Amino acid sequence: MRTILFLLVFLPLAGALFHILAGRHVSRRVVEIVACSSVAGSFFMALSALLALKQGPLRVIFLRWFEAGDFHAAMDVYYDPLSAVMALMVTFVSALIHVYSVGYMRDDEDYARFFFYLNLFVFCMLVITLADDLVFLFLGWEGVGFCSYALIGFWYRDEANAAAGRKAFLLTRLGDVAFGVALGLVFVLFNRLSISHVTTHATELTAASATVLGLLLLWAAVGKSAQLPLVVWLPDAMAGPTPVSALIHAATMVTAGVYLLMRLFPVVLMSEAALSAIAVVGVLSAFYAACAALAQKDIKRVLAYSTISQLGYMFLAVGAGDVIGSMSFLLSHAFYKALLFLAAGCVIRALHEEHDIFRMGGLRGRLPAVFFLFLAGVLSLGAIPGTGGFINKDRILVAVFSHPHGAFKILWLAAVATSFLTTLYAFRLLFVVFLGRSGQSVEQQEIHPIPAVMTRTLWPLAFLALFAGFMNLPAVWGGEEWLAGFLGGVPGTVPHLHISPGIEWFVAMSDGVVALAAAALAFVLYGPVESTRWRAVFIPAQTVRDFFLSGFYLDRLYQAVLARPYMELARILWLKVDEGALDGCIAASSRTFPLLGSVLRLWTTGRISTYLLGLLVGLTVMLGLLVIRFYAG
Amino acid sequence: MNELSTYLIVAAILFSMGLLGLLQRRNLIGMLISIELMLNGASLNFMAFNRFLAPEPAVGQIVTLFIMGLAAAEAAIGLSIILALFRRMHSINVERAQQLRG
Amino acid sequence: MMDSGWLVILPHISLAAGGILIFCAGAFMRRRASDIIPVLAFASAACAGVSSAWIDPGGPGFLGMLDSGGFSRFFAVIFSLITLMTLVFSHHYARDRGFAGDEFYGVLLFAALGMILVAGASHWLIFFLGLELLSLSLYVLIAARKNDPASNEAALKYFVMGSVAGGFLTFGIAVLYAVTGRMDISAGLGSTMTADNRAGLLLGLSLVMVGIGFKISLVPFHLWTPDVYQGAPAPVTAFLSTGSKVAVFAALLRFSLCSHEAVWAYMAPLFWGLAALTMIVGNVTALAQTHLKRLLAYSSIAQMGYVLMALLAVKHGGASAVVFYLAVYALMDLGAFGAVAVLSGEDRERDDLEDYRGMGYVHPWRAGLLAVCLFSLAGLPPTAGFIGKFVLFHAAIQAGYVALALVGILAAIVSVYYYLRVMGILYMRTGECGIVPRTGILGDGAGMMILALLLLLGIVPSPLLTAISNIVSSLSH
Repeated sequence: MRTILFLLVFLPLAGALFHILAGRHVSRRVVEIVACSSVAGSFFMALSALLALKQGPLRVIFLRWFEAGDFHAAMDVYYDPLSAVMALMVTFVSALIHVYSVGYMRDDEDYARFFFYLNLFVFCMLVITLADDLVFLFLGWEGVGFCSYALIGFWYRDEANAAAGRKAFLLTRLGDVAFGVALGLVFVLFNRLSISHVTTHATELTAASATVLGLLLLWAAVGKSAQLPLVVWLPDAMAGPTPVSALIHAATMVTAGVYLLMRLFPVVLMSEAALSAIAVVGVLSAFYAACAALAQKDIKRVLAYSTISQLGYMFLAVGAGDVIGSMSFLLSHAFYKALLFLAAGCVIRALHEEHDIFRMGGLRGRLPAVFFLFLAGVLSLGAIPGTGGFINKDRILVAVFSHPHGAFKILWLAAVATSFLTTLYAFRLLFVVFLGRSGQSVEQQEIHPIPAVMTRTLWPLAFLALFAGFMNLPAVWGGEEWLAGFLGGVPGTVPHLHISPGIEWFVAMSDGVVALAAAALAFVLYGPVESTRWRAVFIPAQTVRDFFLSGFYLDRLYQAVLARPYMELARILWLKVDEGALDGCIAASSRTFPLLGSVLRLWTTGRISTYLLGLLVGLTVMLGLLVIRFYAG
Repeated sequence: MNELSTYLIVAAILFSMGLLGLLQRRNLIGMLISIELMLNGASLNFMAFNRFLAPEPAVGQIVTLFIMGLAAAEAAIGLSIILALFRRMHSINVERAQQLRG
Repeated sequence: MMDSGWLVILPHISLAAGGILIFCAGAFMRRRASDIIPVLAFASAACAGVSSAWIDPGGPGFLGMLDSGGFSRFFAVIFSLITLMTLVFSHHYARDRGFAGDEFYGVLLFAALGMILVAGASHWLIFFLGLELLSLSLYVLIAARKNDPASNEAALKYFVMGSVAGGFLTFGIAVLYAVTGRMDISAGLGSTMTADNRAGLLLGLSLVMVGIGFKISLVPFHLWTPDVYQGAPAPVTAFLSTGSKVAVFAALLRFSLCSHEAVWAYMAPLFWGLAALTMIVGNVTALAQTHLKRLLAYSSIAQMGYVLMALLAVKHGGASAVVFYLAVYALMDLGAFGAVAVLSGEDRERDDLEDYRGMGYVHPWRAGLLAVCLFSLAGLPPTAGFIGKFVLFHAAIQAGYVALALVGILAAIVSVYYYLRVMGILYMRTGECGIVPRTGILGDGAGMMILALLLLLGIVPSPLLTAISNIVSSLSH
C-alpha cells in the first residue's frame, strides 16, 4: 500500500523531472508517451489504492522533513475515502486531458515545457489531495498556483496572456496569505499541523477560534476557487491553452479550495457563523456568475463563469453541512465541465482559434461528433432530469431546503433561481454554437480537421458526465446511494439525509420543472426558429447586457477602488519623498535602506589605514565593554 | 620591579610600536617592519611566560621558533606582493592602492 | 595509540604530499606539467576527502594536537569538497588566464591543509600554524593573476590586514598561555575563572577575537572583504569566502563549546553586539552595490552575522544549527562565486551587475545556478538556505535571544530586496550579453551538483541534521 501511494503521488513528478532534464533531447513522441504514461500510471495506482482501502483511513509517512522543537514537518499522506475519490477523479481527468493535449499541442514547438508544467501540476494537485501535513499541502497549494500562472501565460509572447497569468497569480496570492495565517493559527491551537490530528481533535476548539479559523480557511478557499469577491481572475485565465482551462480551471485546481473546506470540515463544523458565511458566499457567487455567463460572447468565458457558478453550489453544500453532496457534485462537475471545455477546444481548433459564439453557429452538421459530446455536457450542466448532474444538484438542494435554520429557505430559492439561469445559459451556448444559421466564421472558412485523438478521449468523459450521478441515486428513486455510503466514514459527513419522501419529491419536482422551463425558454430565444417577439420580451436592454458581460464591472470596480488609489498613494509618496527629501513616512523605507547603504559604503574607503583603524576601534570597544562589565560585576 | 613584568612591558612596547607604525606609515616596507615588530612582541611574551610561569618547559620556546619561521615566510610573500605592485605603480605608498572601494 | 594517530593525519598527509608533488612536477617536468598537475591536485584532494569520510581513526586524537572526532572529520570532508569544487571551477578559468601553474594548484592544496588544521586543532599551536598556513597560501592565491592590478591590490590589502590580525591573534594566544599555563585549547578555555586570571583571560580572548573576527569578517573587522573578493580571481573568491570562513568559524564553535560558563557569560554580550552589527551593516551596505562580487561579499558578511547569532545559543543546543548552516553556506557561496567564474568572459571578469542582464536566457543552467544560490542565500524555500535560516533563528529564539532574532529577521527581509534585484536582472529580456566559453563537463557537473544539493537539502534536510546533531553531541562531552 505504501508503494502504491508513493507511486500515485510521485509518478507525475518523475515525469516532470524527465521533461525538464531530457525533454529537449528526445523526440516529441517520447515526451508525449512519458507525460501520458506517468499520469496514467498514477491513475492505475489510485484505482488499486481505492480497491485496497479496506481497513479505514490510513496515514503513511514517506519522509520526515525536519523537526525543530514541537514543530514537525513531514511528507506524508492521509488516505481516507474522501481523498481516495478525489485522487481517482484527479488522475482520471488528468490522464484524459494529457492524451487530449497530445492532439491539441501537435503544432506547438514548446511541447516539452508544456508537458513539464502539466505533469508538475498533477503532482502538486495530488499533494493537495492527499497530504496529511499542512505544510506539505501548502507546498502543493503554492505549486498548483505557480503551474497555473505559468500555463495561463504559456504563450507568453502575447502580452495579454502574460498579464492574465500575473493577475491570476496575484489574486490567488491574496487567498494564500489567509492560508498561511491559518497554518500559524492551527499550529498555535493544536500544536500539530497534521490534518488527521486536527480533524480528530476539532471538537476541542472554542467557538471563537473555530470561527476565526473557519473564516480564514474560507478566504483561502475563495481565492483558490474564484468565489466572490476574488472572482475576476478566472475569466481572464482562459487565455491559456484549452486543455489547461479544462484541467486546472475547471476540473481540479479551482476545486482545491472547496476540497480544503471538506478536508477540514470538522473544524468548520464547530462554527455556525463560518458555515453560514460559506453558504452565503457560495450562493452569491453562483448567482452572480450565472448572470454573467448569460451575457458572455466568448465560448470559454461562458464556461469560466459557469465554473464559478457551479463552484458556488459546492460551497453552498459545504455551508449546509452536506460534504457528500458537495463532493458528488464536485466529481460530476469535473466530468461535464472538462468535457465541455475540451469539446469547446475542438470547436475553437476547427474554426481557426475563433472564440466568439456569434460567429459560430450551425456546427451540428459540420462537427457531428463534437455536437453530441457537447450535448451530453450541456444536459448534465443544465441538470435536465435523468442526468447525473440533476441527481447531484438535487441532493444539494434537498440539503439546503431541509436545513433546520429558516434562512436557508431563502438560499434555496436563490439556488433554484440560479439553477434556472444555469440551464438557460447552457442551452443558449448549445443552440447558438451548434444550431441556427451558420455564423460568419463557419461560412467563410474551411473547417480545420481535428485530430481523432481529441474527440475519442471525450467519450469516457461524456459517459461519466451523464451517468456518474447514478452512483448516488437517492433511495426514493430506488437507488442505493453507493457513493454516499462509501464516503460515510469521513468525519463530519451525513451519508443519508433522512428527509421525508414528500420534501424530496417536492424539491426534485421543482428543480426539474425549472430546468425544463429554462431549456424551453432557451429554445425559444436562441433556437433554430427565429422568434423576435419572444426575444423582445425576454432579452434585456443593452446596458443590462453590458453589465452582465463585464461581470458586473467588478474588474473596473477593483481597479477604481483598490488598484488606482493604491497607485495614486504610491505616486504621491514617491513624489513627496523625491521632492521634499525623507518625510519619515514608513513607505519611504524602500528608499531609505538603499540610501543608508550608500552612506555605509563610504566606510569602505579602499584605504588600508581606514581598515586598520576599524580593527583597532573594534578591539577598543570590545575591551571597553569588557572593562565596564568587569567592574560592574 | 620583578623581572617578568620587565619583559612584559618591553613586549607590550614592541607590540604597540608595531601598531602605531602601521597606522602612521604609508610606506609598505615600513608597514612590513611594523608587522614584524608586533610578532616579535608576541614572541617575547611567549618566552617570558615560558621562563617564569608555565609548567611545561619547552612549549613557549617551540612556539617562538614557529613564529620566527612564519614571520620569515610572511616577509617573503609580503615583499613579493610589494614588488609586483611596485612594477605596476612605481611607488610603494600604500595609499596608492585604492582602486577597489565602496 | 600510534596506529590510530597515523590514521588521524591521513588527510593531512595526502594534501601535503599532493602539494609537494605538484611543486616537484612543476620544477622537473616542464613539458607535461600542465596535464599532470590538475590531476594530481584533484586526486590528493579527493583522497583527503575519502580518507576523512570513511576511515574512522577512533582514539583520542593525534598527540594531543589534533582532534580525531566526528566534528573534525565532518569539516575535513567539507573542506575537501570545497577544494575539489574550486579546482573544477578554476581549471578552465586559470588556464585561459595563464596562471594555471604549479604554484596555484600546490598552494591551493596547502590552503586546504590549513583549513583542516584550523578546524581540527585541539592545541593553540596547531590552530595558529594552520591559520598562518591558510593565510600565507591565500595571499599567494589572491595575487595569482600577476598582471591584473585589481588582483595585486586585493592581495596587498589581504596581506596587510591578515598580518596585523595574525599579530593580534598571536599576542592573544600568548596572553592566554600566560594566564592558564596551558596550550591545550579545551583545558585552557575550560579552566575556572579566578580573580587572578580573569583580566588576562578576557584580554587574551578579545585579542584572539580580533583575529577571528577579521577572518570571518565581522563588522567592524570586515572592511577588507569586498575589496579582496572583488579583486581576487572568482574561483579563489569562492574558495576564500567559503573555506577560510567555515574553518575559522568551526574553530570558534569549538572554543565556544569548551569555554567555561563564566568566560562565556562575559563573551556572549560581545557576540550579541557583533552579530547585530554584522547582520545590519552587511545587508544594508549590500543594497547599494552595483558590482556582483562586492554584493556577494557584503552578503557573505551578513551571513556570518546570522551564524554568530546562533552561536550565542551554543550552550542551549544551538551548535548543530551552526554546523548545518556553515555547510549550507559553503554550498551557497561556492555556487554563487563559482557561477561568476563560469559566467565570466575570457578577457575580463563579468562583474558589473548590468553585464548579467538577460543572462538567464543565454546560459540557462549557469545563470540558474546563480539564481538558486541567491534564492538560497536570501533564505527562501524550497532551498537549503531556508531550512538553514529556520534552524538558526529557531535556535536563537529557543535560547532566549528574541530581540537579536528580530533584528536578524528584519535584516533578512531587507536582504531579500537585493538578492531579488540580481534575479530580476538575470531574467530581464532586454539587453545584450556576450556568450561565454564552454567550461567543460566538469565545471557544469560541479554546478549541477551544488544546485541539486541545495534543493535536496531544502527538501530533505533531516538526514544531515540528524547526523550533525550526533557529531556535535559527541564533541560537547
